[in-house]
Amino acid sequence: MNELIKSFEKYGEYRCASCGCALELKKTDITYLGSVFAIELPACPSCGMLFVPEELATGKMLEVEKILEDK
Amino acid sequence: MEKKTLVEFENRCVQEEPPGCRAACPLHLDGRALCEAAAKGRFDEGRKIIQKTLPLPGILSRICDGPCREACLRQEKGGAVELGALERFCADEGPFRRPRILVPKTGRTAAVLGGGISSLTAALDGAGKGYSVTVFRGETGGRELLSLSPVLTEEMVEEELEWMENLGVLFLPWDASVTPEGLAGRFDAVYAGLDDPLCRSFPELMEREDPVSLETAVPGVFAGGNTPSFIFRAAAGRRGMKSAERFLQGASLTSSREKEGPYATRLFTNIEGIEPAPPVPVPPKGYTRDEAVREAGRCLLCECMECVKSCVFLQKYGGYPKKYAREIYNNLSVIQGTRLANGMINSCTLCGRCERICPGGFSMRDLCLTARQEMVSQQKMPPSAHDFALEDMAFGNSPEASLLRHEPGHSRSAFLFFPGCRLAGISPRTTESVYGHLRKVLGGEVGFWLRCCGAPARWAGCRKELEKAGKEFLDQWRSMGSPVVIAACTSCLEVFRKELPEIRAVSLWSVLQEKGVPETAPIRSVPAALHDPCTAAELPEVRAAVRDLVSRTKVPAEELPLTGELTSCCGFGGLQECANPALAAETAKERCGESPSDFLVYCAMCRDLFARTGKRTMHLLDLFFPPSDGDPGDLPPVSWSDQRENRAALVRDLRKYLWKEEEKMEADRDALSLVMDKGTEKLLESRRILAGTVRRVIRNGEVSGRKIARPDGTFIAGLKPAAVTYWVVYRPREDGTFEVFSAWSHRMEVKGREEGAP
Ligand code: SF4
Ligand code: SF4
Ligand code: SF4
Ligand SMILES: [Zn+2]
Repeated sequence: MNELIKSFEKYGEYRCASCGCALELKKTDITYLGSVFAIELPACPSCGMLFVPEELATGKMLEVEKILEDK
Repeated sequence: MEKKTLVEFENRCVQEEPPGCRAACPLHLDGRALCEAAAKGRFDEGRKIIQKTLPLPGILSRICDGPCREACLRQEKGGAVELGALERFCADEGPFRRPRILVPKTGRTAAVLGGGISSLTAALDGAGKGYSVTVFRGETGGRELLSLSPVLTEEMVEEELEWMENLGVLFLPWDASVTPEGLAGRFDAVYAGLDDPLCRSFPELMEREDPVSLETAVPGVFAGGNTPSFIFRAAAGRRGMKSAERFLQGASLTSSREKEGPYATRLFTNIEGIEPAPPVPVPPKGYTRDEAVREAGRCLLCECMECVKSCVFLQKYGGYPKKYAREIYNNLSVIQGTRLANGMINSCTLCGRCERICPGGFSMRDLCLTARQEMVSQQKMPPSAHDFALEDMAFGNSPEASLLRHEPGHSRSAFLFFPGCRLAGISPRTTESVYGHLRKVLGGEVGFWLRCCGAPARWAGCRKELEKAGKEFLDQWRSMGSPVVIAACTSCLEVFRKELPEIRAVSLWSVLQEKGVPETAPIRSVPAALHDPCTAAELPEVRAAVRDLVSRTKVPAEELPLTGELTSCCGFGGLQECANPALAAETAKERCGESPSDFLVYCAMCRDLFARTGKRTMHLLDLFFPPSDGDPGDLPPVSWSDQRENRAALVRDLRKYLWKEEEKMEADRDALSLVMDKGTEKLLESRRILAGTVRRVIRNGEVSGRKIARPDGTFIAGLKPAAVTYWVVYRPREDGTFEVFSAWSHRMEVKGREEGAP
């Protein structure tokens, strides 16, 4: 799932509202129905606040969710 | 699901039964497949079908007397299909190219007496079973075949006999030393074709001929084929050699042979509305290519598919219930691997129409509901399928959206008005008006009960939740003194009838029929097509009450072609709309396309789903309790968000104004107000993200400060209230409102985030 967040430059301008730090890619585990995937998500280097971008949630992530649900 | 259950379901669907022609053919030639190929001009394919079934195809296909005609469904519509003539054209149009199948020799020997069709068929089948076959025939050496019909030529006969010799069949002349008893001693089994006069000279062959096994007085000797019909002669040869085989295996000569000869098929084919067309006359020389194509085109390609024709869902998956039953059974048996039928199981509207249409009563509803229940209990139900509806059910039973009260000023209830979640959510206005009207016409003691009936849990296959809700339901009902429940929604009535039979429930429509409706000025006199909700299909008294009420309006109502007990679902039933929104939209569209007129409905959900497709649809209540401004057909559909907020607002309003409970009511926590354009509203509706959820996400971001700032001054905040994580892009505005730009959600969990707490 990692090649998903290719166009990442735009998140570099996003900042954590509480710390003021610019977001950086951070290796994170995501899980669903017992499966675990490692993925890089934009996160605050100071407090760890992160988010799941829209294109990921409604694209590849949704696909994987569906596949896992039918397993 | 047990295998036994699968078989019970499968047996009800006759779609895989053979067409009449094939069942009636003594050799079961697939006339339907032959016609299908021939109608497209594919006669080579036709020959393949013939040679697969008919022995001596070069002869039989030209002279078959066609007993299949008696069973052909075309008979009633102009005349039976001339299958015989079609076979003949196939044979004339090109050569049979039979594949040479090498059969391992079994070491068994079989003797065949006679040179007619029956004997030669038996010989061919014997060779096919791996026996060493010897045919004893008269001096004419096959010429007797030639005399069967003037259409046969020497070459045709020669070709067939040569083919047999190539297969290793040995032909020996018949002499005086040949007797059935003698052959029985020298060979493992014997067949005698009684279409050959030589064979008929042995009285022991003519005696005690058992019609099933064709066994004669001499053990191990079988005989048959004493009939004028060529195809029946061949069938006897085939039957005789089968008996020989069973005899050699020591198996029963008579058991399970019912379908060897002609039998009546169970296949149902609807021939209503088919235009009669006479057969293309058969010239003495046989059909031309064009004539053959035309005659084949008269074949009805008999099949059932009755239920599929009228169900968008059944059409969607490209099959028919028998096939689906196997797929669902396999789906439930998957231990590791992909469950291919999950989507199908959850897409049926559970309307039950198929069961009412099917000649065998196949119920896709029972099948899918059983499968859902099994998936839920095995924890194999995809969470995304019904979560939204189940969560809505929980909301409907929360204090915010539910209400149970005696009528103001009364301390007991003779009746309880039960509007249901949908009417209350889609039209709180009529909900209040109807309640006022009922209090008037019933003269007091009319309580009010808003909550979910449990239909979502029932449709989702969640028996546990349903039972829990049912218990709570009964407790509440008894606490009110077990009054008569007046249900506005037929889906609620269905749940009461099937799951809570104790509840004394009547339909709002029956009450209105009996007690009267308000006098209102006619709103319009344009005709409208009356649509019955699928849950009214099993409630004839409700449908009758509705028709009576409609006749009191000035709206000339039309009946749709499929109505009453054959009505269709709007797409909401069975949670189709939840599990497969795209299919639900198709279901609604299909139904709306059945009449160009406006629709008149009496279920709030039907109204909404039809209105969403752009169809002008009126709710019957809107005719008796009209909106203050404008035409009820112009009312917009109500989003899921608004339905929820409407229910909560209805509860607040009723408590405040009717029950004067203002002081007891908690402060409105959801006061945060949102601004978004139509496009965003639509996007959120399609992603099933409710306005209430958006508020909670924003509140979480604002209160905790945990949010992401974008360079354009907007923020992203997230929240995971239960199983799903939501993200919202918003901007606080100076006036204290929040502008929403987008929102999305996912079910995958990000490890190590504590998103839960607001
Ligand atoms: S109506 Fe449907 S389920 Fe019934 S026999 Fe025909 S195809 Fe099968
Ligand atoms: S209409 Fe066609 S498929 Fe049906 S019985 Fe006649 S030949 Fe067979
Ligand atoms: S949607 Fe209705 S008609 Fe179609 S399969 Fe399901 S229960 Fe049968
Ligand atoms: Zn931070």
